[in-house]
Amino acid sequence: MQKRQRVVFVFIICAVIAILALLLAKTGVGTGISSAIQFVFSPLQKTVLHSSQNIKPQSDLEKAKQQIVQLQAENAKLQVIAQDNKALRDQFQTTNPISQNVIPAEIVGMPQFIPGVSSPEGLIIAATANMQVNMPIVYKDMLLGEITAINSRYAKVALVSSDNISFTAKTAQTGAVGIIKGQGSGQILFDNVLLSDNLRVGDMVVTTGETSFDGKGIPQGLIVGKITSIDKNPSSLFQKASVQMLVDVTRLSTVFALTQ
Amino acid sequence: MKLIILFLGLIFSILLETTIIDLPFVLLWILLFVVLTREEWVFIIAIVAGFILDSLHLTVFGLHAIFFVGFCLLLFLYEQKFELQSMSFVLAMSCIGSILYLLLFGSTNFVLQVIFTSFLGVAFFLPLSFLFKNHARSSITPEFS
Repeated sequence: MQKRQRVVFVFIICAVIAILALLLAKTGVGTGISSAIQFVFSPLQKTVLHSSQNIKPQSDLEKAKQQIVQLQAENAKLQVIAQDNKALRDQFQTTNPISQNVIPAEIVGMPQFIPGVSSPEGLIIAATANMQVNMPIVYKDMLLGEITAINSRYAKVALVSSDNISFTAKTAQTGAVGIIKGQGSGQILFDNVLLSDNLRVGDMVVTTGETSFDGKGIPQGLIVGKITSIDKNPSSLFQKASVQMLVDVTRLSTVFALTQ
Repeated sequence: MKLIILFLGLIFSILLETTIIDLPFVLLWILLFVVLTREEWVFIIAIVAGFILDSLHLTVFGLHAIFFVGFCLLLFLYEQKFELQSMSFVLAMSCIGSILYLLLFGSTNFVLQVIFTSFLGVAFFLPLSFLFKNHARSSITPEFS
C-alpha cells in the first residue's frame, strides 16, 4: 500500500473514532472515559500546579500587600455589618443569620492563563458530591466566581472577571447599587450606577445577594473587589467604575464552594 | 530513546496546557511528531492526546481529537510538496495551526499567543531535528527502495 493511501486509511479510522466519541459525548461511555482520564491525570496536574506556585517565593512586600488586602477586606466586612445593624435598628427587625456551608475544593487548572501575560478566566477545581452548577465559589469572604459546568471529577468555575458573569452589587461605604460585569483579562466593571449615587476610589464592592427561594445563588455581603477608577460622565445615564479583585487566584491552591 | 523524549514532551505539554499555561503546546508537539517521525501512528497519538485534552479542559469529548486528526492529515498532505523537516515549514504550520486552534477553542491575547506559539514551535524543533535527523531518513528509505 502506498504511503499516501495508508495515511488516508488511518485518518479515516481515527476520524470515525473521534466523531463517534463526539456523538457519544453525552452518554455514559463518554463520561466514563473522561472520568478515567481525569483520575489518571488529576495527581499529576496538582503536582505541576503546586510546583509552579512554589517557584517564586513571596517577598516581604508581597506579604505586606497581602496583609493590607486582608485588613481592607475585614474593614469592608465591618462596614457591611454596621450598615446592616443600622438598618435592623431602624426597622426593629431581626433575622437569623443564614448558615453558609462551604465545601473545600482543590484547584487543578487555570484555563486561559499565561503567567505575566494574561489573567486566568476561570478555574478547574476538584468536584465533590454536593457541588452544583451556579454554586458561588469563595475564598474567605471574597467571591471568586461561580460553577458553570461540572462532571464527576471536575468543576469549571467562571471567575467574576470572566466576560460571561454579571450580578448586582453595592459599595460598602456609600451603598451605591450597580451591576458587576466581568470584562475578561482580569477586568471587572461596576456598571449601571445612578449618577446621583456616590462612588469612591478604594471603596469595597460587595454582593447584594441574588439568592433564590430555595437558597441557591450568590448570597449578600461577599466582597467582590475594590474600586480602582471611576468613569462619571454627566451626559451619560449611568456612571461606572473599574473594580479589582482583592485576591490573586493564581496564588491559591484551595477555594470553597458555598452551599445553601 | 528519541521517541521517549517526544512522548515525555507530549505528556508534559498536556499537563502544562491544562494547568498553568494556556498555549497550544499539545498542537505543537503533534506537529513535531509528524515532522520528525513521518509515521502514520501519529494519528493515534493525536486522537489520544485530543481525548485527554477534552477530558481535562471539560470541553465536548472528541472535539480536540477531531481537530488534531485533521491537522495531522493537513501536515501529511503537504509532505509531498514541502520539506517537512525545515524551520520555515514548522514556523508556518505552527502559526496556521495555532490560529485555527485558538479560533476554534477561543482564547484571550490571540495575536500574542499565535506569535509566541510559532516561535516556541521553532525553538522545540531545532534541537529535536538534530536528534531525529537519521530517524526520518531511515523511515523514508525503505519506501523508495
